[in-house]
Amino acid sequence: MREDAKILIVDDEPLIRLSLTEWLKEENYLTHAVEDGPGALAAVQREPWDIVLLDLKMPGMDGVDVLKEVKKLAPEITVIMMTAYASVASSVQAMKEGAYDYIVKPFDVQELTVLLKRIVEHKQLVSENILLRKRLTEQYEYENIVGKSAPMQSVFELIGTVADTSATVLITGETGTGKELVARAIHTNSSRRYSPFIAVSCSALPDTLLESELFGYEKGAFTGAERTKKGRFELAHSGTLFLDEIGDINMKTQVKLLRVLQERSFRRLGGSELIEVDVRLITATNRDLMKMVEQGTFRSDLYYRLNVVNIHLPPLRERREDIPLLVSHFLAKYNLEFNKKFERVRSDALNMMLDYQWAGNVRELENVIERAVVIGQGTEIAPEHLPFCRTDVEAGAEPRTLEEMERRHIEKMLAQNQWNIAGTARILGIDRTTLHKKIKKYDLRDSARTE
Amino acid sequence: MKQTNRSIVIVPFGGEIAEYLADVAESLYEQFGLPIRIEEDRGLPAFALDPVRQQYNSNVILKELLGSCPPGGLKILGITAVDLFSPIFAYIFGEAQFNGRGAVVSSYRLRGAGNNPDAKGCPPLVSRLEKECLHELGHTFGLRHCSDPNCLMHYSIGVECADRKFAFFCPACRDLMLWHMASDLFLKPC
Repeated sequence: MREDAKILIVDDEPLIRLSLTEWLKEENYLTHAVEDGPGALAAVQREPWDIVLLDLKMPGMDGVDVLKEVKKLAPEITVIMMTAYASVASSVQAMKEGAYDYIVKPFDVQELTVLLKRIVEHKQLVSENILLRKRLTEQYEYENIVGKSAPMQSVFELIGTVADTSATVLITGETGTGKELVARAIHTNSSRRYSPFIAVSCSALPDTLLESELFGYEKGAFTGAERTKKGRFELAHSGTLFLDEIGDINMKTQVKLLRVLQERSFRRLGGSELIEVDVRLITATNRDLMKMVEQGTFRSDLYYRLNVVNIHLPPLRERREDIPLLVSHFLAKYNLEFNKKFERVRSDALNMMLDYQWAGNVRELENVIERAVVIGQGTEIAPEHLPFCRTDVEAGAEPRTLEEMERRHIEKMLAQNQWNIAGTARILGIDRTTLHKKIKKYDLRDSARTE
Repeated sequence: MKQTNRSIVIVPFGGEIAEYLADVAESLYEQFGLPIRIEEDRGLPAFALDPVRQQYNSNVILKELLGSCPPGGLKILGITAVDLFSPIFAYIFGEAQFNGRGAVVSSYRLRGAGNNPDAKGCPPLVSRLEKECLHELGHTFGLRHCSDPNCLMHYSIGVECADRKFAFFCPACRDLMLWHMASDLFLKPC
């Protein structure tokens, strides 16, 4: 039996208080006894209790009044009423006010033992349940990044490993996979967490503006530079600078960036003063930087500087087992935001989400859930709440059969070649007869000519 | 086990339980390894009778026992066949002073539902009485209820459930009991 279940005894008879206290102590409970209602309420306000054994008939404040107040102060406490007479009316009233049960004096030792044991076990199960749920979410959540799949678990592990080093990290992954969240997670788990985290999206700014944004400028550096401005590198001093869409910066900025990485210092635009900075750089891209290096559009020396540690975020379609977890995460988030009460997702709606391609990855899933929570009512997400369940969208979805694929491809090629049969057959790598047969089989028509 | 002059004293209240005393004493000796002394029968405990409830108050019997413990008595156990109650409980099988000296046990409720010791499949009353005496004395040796359902110190819901537990302590309770016994024998005054 649990040793720390705390029981408060409220009875005006000293003998009952003494005997019950002694007996409960022997039964491994922690107990305290008070003689009246005000004493009970003071005890409830002072410390937490699991169970209150409350006498129904007491001078002054009646048992039912004490019960009402206890339930107001601490609704989680289980109250058992003790009564000398099996008075049905008062017991019914007590039960209505939220008493768990009532026992008649003198007690049946077996009945009381079983009753207390049942309550304690129930409370244990409830708290265990809460703890397990918490542990489960903690296990599958890392600084707001959700995932139980093997690739995400190794991402979490990698974040934990690299966070407290000063290594430069390159985060790769498709759009919407959560690259910035990973960058923030690395920052908040590093010793730089009390210093700034500065994020810059390199594709959002034109090249010249990006340069002045990153390195700052001196007053008069260019027309309109009316005062000296600190760049993001300076602002991120002793913290972390996150450069998103790093694949989009031009060669000139690449050179400047490389120099900062090598020398840990730079000059503002139009400035001569060398500014030293201590910045941890994290970059991210959805492009294939290696390929860009091969094509000569990205400097290889910068690539190797940035790619000291690579964290690759898998697209959502490659970790479908995380979809239910993500759905419940976003449901909880948007329930709170929009004051809704969605508890579950209907199985057909979940299946649709599991089958969907998620080109926009987690960001798209989040938007879908946000929209569903906004437009839906009730407690269940149904297929009609999902934007991709509409039939017109489905027609544009990827073909399922090879035959359908072939039909669409031939139609597309014919249209591109203005229905030139010989040219289209050449492109498709089949002879004209076969193409004619296919056109007949799929009943394809030149829409320009039929009109 | 090394012999000591300290003993467990059994005090019978009423002749009805006389036939069980030898068996109880033997089983106490087996478990505690201390000399067992059976005192003279003190007769029905009329001093503890509650006229309203027509039951006997175990607290009063315990007090009487503690006030009359003979020299050399380490623990004193009262055994009776009358129906016992404590102020808060409708009836009890027995009561003990936790980590103290005295305990009292009654065979009255050990007969089970219908108070029929001859019911089919019912173990002999003496087996139940032995277990109850060992259990209550266990409390006087500082043992609380044990979660092992086979252990003597397990709290059983109903006398029938108690039949399944063994008439000896689990290793953990036994160790604890011996530790408390050593403390009682060598650290506490006689």
